[in-house]
Amino acid sequence: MADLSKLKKDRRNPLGEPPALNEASNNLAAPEHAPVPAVPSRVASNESSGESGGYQRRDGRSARKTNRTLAFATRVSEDFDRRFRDVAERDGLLIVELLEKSLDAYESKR
Amino acid sequence: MTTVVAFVSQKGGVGKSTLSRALAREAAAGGLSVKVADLDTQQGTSVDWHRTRLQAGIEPVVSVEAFRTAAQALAVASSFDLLIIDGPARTSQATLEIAKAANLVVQPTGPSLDDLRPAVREFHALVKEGVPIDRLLFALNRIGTDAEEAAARRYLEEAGYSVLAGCLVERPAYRTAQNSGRAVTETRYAALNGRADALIQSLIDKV
Repeated sequence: MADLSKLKKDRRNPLGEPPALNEASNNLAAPEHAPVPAVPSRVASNESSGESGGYQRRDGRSARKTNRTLAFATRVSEDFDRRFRDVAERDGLLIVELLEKSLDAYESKR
Repeated sequence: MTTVVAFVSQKGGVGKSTLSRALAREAAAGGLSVKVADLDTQQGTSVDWHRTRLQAGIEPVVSVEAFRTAAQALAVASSFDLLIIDGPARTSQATLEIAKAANLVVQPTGPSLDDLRPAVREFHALVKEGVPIDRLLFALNRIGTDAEEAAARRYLEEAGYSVLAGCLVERPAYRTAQNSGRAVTETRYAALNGRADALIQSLIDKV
């Protein structure tokens, strides 16, 4: 049988054309080691306030905390708990609001 | 004079460590003093492989060491006949530094367009920075069929680059060998060893 290979059209590569030189990557400008992720801004601002002398309470969860509020836990007697909640309920206050007013009252009369 | 061969890629899993180990194994078996510089300190795959090989008592012993920077690795080159740089899965300013110092820069790649396109772009970047094109070589890895190899080879050659003769085919036996601290030239199957050896030989012939 005759060899017809010369008559065949040059078939294109199924993978298509490779990228041209002007499509070179920009990765050679990158630093050798990937930069360390930045500290979240809210934590950074808290740290800066700490440096200026402000109170900064830190723990392992600092990175995902807003630090808008802090947990505040203590143990009290059953009687104190009942009295405190009765007053808060009577005056329509949150526990924290009554606590704040209590501290204000204490400091003003001390 | 020390020969420096670097395996680089922007991608992980393309075969940098696989080929680094195989070249190191063959060089050590041939009597050369050889060091593999593992620059991927976050993963340290070749360091782990080296530990496994030592624990299994496999000969020849291949020396592998982790280096934090390319400059630190290149600084020790003169102590060896062959320094093999097993680069991280990322290209950077250090890649250019390595490419300028190396005798050969080998970029392993799989045969898919997802592998080939970015691989070509990485070599284009080195060429634009003045790295001689004859130092840049592609090695085909994870090949499934002859047609797949041919298409990938043609694609890379059309981009202007040389491709090492031979390839690593996709076989679990290569992974099994490396899992036990062996190189891809040390599997249980002579035919697979022969294919891997042919690829490494074509690399050595380019030095």
